[in-house]
Amino acid sequence: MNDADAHSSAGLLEISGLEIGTSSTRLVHGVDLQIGRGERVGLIGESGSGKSLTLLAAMGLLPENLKVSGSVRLDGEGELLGASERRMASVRGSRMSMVFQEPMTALNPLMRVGEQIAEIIRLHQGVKGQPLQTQVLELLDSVKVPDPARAERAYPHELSGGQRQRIVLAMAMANQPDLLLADEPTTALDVTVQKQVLELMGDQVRQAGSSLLFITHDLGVVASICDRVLIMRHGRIVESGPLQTVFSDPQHPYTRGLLAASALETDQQTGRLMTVGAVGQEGRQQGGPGQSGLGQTGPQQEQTGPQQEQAGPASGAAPHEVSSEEPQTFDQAAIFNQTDAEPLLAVREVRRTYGRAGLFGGGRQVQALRGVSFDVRAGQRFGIVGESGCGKSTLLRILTGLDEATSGSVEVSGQEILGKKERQLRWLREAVQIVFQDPMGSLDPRMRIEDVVAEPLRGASREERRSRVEALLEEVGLPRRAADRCPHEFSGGQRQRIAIARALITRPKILMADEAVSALDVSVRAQVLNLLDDLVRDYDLTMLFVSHDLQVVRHACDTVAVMNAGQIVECGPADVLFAQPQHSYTASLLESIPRVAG
Amino acid sequence: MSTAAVSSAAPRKGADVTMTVLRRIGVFALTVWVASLVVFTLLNVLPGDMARAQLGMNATDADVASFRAEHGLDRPLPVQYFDWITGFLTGDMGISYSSRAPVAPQVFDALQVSLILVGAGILIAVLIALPLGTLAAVRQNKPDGVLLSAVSQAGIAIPNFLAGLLLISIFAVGLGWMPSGGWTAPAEGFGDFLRQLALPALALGLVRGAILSRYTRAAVLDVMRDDFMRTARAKGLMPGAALRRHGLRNALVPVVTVTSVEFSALVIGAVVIETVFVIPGLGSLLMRAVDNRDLIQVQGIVMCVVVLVLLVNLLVDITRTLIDPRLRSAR
Repeated sequence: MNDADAHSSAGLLEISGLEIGTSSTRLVHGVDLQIGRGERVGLIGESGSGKSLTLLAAMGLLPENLKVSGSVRLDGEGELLGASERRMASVRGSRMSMVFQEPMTALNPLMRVGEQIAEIIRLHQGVKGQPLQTQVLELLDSVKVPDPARAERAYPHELSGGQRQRIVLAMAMANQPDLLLADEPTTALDVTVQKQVLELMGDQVRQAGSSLLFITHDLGVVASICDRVLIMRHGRIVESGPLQTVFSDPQHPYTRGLLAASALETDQQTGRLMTVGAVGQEGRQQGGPGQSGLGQTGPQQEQTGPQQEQAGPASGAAPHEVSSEEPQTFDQAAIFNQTDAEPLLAVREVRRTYGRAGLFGGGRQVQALRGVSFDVRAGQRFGIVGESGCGKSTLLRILTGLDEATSGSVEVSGQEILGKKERQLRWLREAVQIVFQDPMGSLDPRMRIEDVVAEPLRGASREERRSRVEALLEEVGLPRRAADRCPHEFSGGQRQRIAIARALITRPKILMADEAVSALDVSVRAQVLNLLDDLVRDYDLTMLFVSHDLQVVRHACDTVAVMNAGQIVECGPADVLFAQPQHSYTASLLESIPRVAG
Repeated sequence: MSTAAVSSAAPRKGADVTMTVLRRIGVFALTVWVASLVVFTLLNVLPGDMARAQLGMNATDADVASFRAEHGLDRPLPVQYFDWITGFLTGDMGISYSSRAPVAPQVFDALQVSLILVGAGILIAVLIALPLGTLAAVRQNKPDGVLLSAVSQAGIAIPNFLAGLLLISIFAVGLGWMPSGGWTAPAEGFGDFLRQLALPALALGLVRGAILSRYTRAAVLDVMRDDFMRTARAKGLMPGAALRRHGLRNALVPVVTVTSVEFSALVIGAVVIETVFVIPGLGSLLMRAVDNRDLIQVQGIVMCVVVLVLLVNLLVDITRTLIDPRLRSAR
């Protein structure tokens, strides 16, 4: 690949002394960044590091309430900071263009896709009529959208997330820009789709001879597309250099911590996940108040033995099972992870069909679950992985009695929960608790933390509520006084701790985690996973961990089931399944994970 | 799966629109039917006998009986309902209890007047709200934007009838530019028609316009925060062009929805305004019918207003479907 140093002579974009701030706080502190022609640079940082602001400043698209100073120079254009709107508009989309994170909202929902692509060509090249139409179709073909003629006439909501991101990429590359700025372009996509989009982006940039500035929090993604990286934290660039050098021999403690946390590296002695704080103690933890380093304050840390040993007894006997690769095996689906002893959770032939009958007929049906059967033994950490739409969330909702199955049976501790009235499920609400994905949305913003956590407690006195809430908050690594605050005063990681405390207050038997760490930064993710690990042991929990992230599941669970299209395709001990995937779908999932070390 | 999404949705677009419109019309018909049942039941089953109400407390039983026979009130209620609703559908609303004349022609005359008034009111409201609301959003942090916001906020606080009285006292009584009330049909004198329409239509439209402009401002502000607006800027569109090409149409969807609600409020407001400006519309007719305890006439007028409001809601639904492709599919 390209040698980073070779490009430094031919500078394309030069950012120097970039400062961005509100009237009261400075968010970006003197960032310097150069990109050579044809160079592919990754800008890595966690949320709030200022990486997106840096990119928006280069495009001149910062929100109006932010003040910016310093210099942004594009070869041939001169200084861009403070340039007139008209001049910036002529640069945007022609010499510099941008791909955004959210493919679902980046396109105008009311305009046909073809017209949205045509617009950017017309704007900068003045092409019209038939030649324009031809160019749009060629572009759609080049980003490998199936059936370009149809896609051109489609509205964004008729396309999948991956296809929409291809459309956004087609728009960005339409005028063969000198520089493509990509802001977390694959974060919202499934791993298999992510891989395709990344490859496509690499090809497109190479063919057009463009430079690339790629923003991400995911080190694996960067490794697959960039040749030089910059690590950004708290508005500063803390380390930069060729990708191989930085990743194999990180100099800055934060880089080391980030690398360890994103690879889910474990400490040799304790078996616990390395957190950014643990690796790189800088003494300066700026993130959310008290957010970093809280993982270490968890109780009973001393007892922690090596990870594998704890997982041992539960997972020892789990067999490795694979469903037939033939699609038609609905009639007799296998029971995965079946046990002779009485399982804590027994799921049999669960099916769920969505759909509604239209007023004038023509109802459409979607089979979300097509016969799922498995057992979970007490004390197991059972992981369910799959891509979006595979039915894993539907399954979880049915297992928690929040949704009805179309048919099948679910027994918790030998008691059937399907087809029961809410009144009859009160015991289930105490025995089974969930931690949801979005720590921002799953807590009532108007309730104090004490009330959020204590809500499931019935008939407890005020003092008892208070003392139990405070004890739990401490166990999840939050100060006791957090009980009097409201959710918005906490960071994402802290809110997820609150959600965990709320789940544990009923002393449940089963804890279900629905993508519980997917919305968190990698360093916070490691802390929350460590916390879950502690709590599962301390509370003798059985855990069902649902995620799209195979690495997280591999770490957090001893037994893993892989779901695809409403069915379990493979199930077995985590180590074995990841080392020797038997089903072709599992293999393709594993194959798609971007890796830090090549 | 993703491939299927494109191929299955794209060619059915026209069919989707037709299906959605047909479904909406079906719902409309159903709603009209339910509404007719409610209106009929309210006026016939609730305490108080139609004939008694009409003839007064002093009427003899014989008078009441003959009145009931004359107007078919002695028949079973389902028969009366069937008779009334089939008549209504063919433009026959029965014979007035008080004037003994057919109800329908009077209602239709008044309906024409009210339609003109309400139409002019909503037109004024929309013409005020769309540009001013958009401007207030685009210039939200500038002095003029804030001023526009404040003015529209004040406008919301003013009730219809007060706006009417204010307009009369300024333009009719004070300045003498406009008549203070009355009605001339457009065919009898277009100049007089416009002069007499101006103040009541303004009284209706200004207040509704103030409310609608708040919604427009909010909708445009929402859209300006949307990701696709940033995409539009990143493509190289100037801010104004981005708003025109991508923003306004998106902002229109919620505004159109609110307009239908506003229309219902406008129809009710018209009842009061017609009284203030002495206009022979449905509102005035309704007041008179209530005064005369002419329940068959009340029934006809109320049903007309219900159909009118539902019809506007139907049109708004269809308009939304045409603007927003996401509403077209059956999902």
